[in-house]
Amino acid sequence: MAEVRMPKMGDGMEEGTILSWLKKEGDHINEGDAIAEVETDKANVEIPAEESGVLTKIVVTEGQTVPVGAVIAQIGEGAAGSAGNGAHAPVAEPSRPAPAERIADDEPVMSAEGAKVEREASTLPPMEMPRRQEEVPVPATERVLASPLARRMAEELGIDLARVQGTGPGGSIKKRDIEAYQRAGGERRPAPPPATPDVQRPTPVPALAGQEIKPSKMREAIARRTVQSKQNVPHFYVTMVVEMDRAQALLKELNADAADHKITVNDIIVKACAVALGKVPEVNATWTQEGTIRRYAEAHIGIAVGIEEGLIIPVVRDCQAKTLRQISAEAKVLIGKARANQLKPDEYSGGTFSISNLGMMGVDEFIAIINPPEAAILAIGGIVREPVVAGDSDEIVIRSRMKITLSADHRLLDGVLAARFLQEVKKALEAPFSLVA
Amino acid sequence: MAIMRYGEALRAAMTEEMERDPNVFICGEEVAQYQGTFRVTEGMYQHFKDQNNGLRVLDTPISEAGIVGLATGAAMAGLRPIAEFMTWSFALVAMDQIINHTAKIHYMSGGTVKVPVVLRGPAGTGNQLSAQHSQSLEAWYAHVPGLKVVMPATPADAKGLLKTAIRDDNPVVFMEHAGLYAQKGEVPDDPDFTVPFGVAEIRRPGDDVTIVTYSHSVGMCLHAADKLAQEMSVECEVIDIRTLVPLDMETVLQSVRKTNRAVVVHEEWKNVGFGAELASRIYEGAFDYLDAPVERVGGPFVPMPYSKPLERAAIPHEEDVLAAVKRVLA
Repeated sequence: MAEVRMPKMGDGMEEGTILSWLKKEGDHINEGDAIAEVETDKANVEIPAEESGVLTKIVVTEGQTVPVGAVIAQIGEGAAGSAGNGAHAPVAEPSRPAPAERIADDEPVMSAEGAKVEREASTLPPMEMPRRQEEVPVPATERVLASPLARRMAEELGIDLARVQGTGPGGSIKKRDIEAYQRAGGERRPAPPPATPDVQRPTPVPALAGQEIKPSKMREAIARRTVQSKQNVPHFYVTMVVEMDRAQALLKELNADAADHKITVNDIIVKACAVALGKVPEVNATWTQEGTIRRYAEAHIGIAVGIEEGLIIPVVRDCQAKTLRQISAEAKVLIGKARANQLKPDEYSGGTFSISNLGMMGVDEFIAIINPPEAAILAIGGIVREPVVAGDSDEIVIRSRMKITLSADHRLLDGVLAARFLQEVKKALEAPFSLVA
Repeated sequence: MAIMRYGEALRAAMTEEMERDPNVFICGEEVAQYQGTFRVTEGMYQHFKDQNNGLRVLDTPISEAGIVGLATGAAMAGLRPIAEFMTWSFALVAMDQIINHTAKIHYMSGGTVKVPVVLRGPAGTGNQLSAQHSQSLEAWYAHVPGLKVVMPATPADAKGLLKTAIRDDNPVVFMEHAGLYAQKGEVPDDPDFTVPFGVAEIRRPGDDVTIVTYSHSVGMCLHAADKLAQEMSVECEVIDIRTLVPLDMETVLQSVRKTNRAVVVHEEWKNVGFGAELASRIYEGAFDYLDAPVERVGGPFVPMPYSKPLERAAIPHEEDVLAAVKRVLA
């Protein structure tokens, strides 16, 4: 009998919600069959069966949210329901303990998941804590096993123990688990605001009767990741103006005879960034949890896409090795999938650098929040036609100009490096034929 | 520094203190003419036979109650006796003297009468001495207010702690380990060298696990710690508490706050052994620093068997320490 567990489908995924079951109990399943649709904080994904058999038990019902690693179903070899009910996982129903009547007298007191089941004391066999059992998240209603030290650390760091995966005996949470959770970018609760001295306290205002909205998974993920980034990454910002006349002319020419697909300003910026990342490789790097700098040879560039629920950053891989046209074609597909909520985890993770473009929204310039573990993100403003002084001539000319702002992680980048990177982007965009040569 | 055996270090401590203070004397079974069952008092009778009518190293009848009674009375009268038990197992017949008299007279006299007596002799297990001669009862004495309990692990500590015991104005239970008498080590020659009570010694520094132990088990734990460092890169901090009463918990707690894990190790029975006190005090003083339950290593709950394989099974060994350390790391 095999257990189907909530898979981890992307960086930072901690839990998932079963949107719908695509198979029902008793159905025969072939390896690879999609058995359920799961909503993560990033996308809706179908879970494939990892082996063939009969879906003997659906443990987590539609609409329920469980942590990564929790058993959601069981696949058996024989007929439905013939095996495995004794190993019914209370994990499935966090709000309810396993009903005692389900446990026959001859069944072990410890369920397969190590969860304790109440029974008559007289029938208890000697209690022995299973050591190094399978790691299974503990249901929220039961006490989370954690060492006193782990408990204290979690309290001090504002970490919800229920979200931490324990690796100690019986799934107990240890110091190392808290540290791993933190390294993995676990949430931090913001510290309570400092008390305002009485003298400055304004007259109390009656609480506004606003409408409470439960944020979507994606909204929660954005909240968590942006807070984590802004609190932990020392951002600094450098802005530069790029003249886009020649880039626009080039695009016009490139797109003149393209019936099917047009290359966008955004595409050419991605290409320019790939070139600049090659010239200033310090930017294509990350500050690791071990406190080292890891530099990447490949430029996997994320493109922030605003969608109804929020924001997602699909990644165009290996931009350093791709032509403008290839980048453009891939970006189009990815952006389309992002808008349709169809991105797969490997399509929105693993980026080394990101771009956020609000140019089409009439924005002059803005600053973006770094998408960890990347070292920088480039915020693109709109292309504005404006009068400028041309060269040394004191002559006023009209130019199409665009402001780009790099948000950079000061742990591994300094102002000069950020400026050099922007110079390379500018150089590439102002002499754009190099990008198609 | 001189290289000395543990037994020789004890003799040096007694000889120096007897030369320093004419009130110090030794009494016990076969300590004078026979020179001691374990030869700890070897040559001492000859050395001191011209002083005080040859009574400074005094053979007594075979009566532990009598020996302790004599020593306690002499101490009350102003002398500083060292009473030797052939083994601490024989002190059981002197329990009434030790617990109800030696330990309590200072308290019951409102502090007016001091009892500066040292009760010493070999304790510990091993050597196929069987159930009645092979046991470690330090927890009994540590349980009783009014007694200081000392268990040295090295020749230097044997000397320094025994000198402190002799100079102490309170009764001191000084438990040597028969298995350590032949152990050699560096011992300071300085006649003023003493080791204070209530100061634990970090025998080996480490950041990963704190091992708290004393007496013969110290060597075993150090060996286990070296093995763990080599094989698993686990650095154990081995703390020798040296004196059970008074107990230096501060050193232990500081270490546990650093390592977050503790193993307590001793030869005596684990059940209600001194390790239970150590573990309990660790919980009281460092609960929020513990990343694993405190592990106790001690003897199984059986009288010591005579049979060699069974005896081995009844005494904690290095592999027990290794297993306990691995458990706290799980």
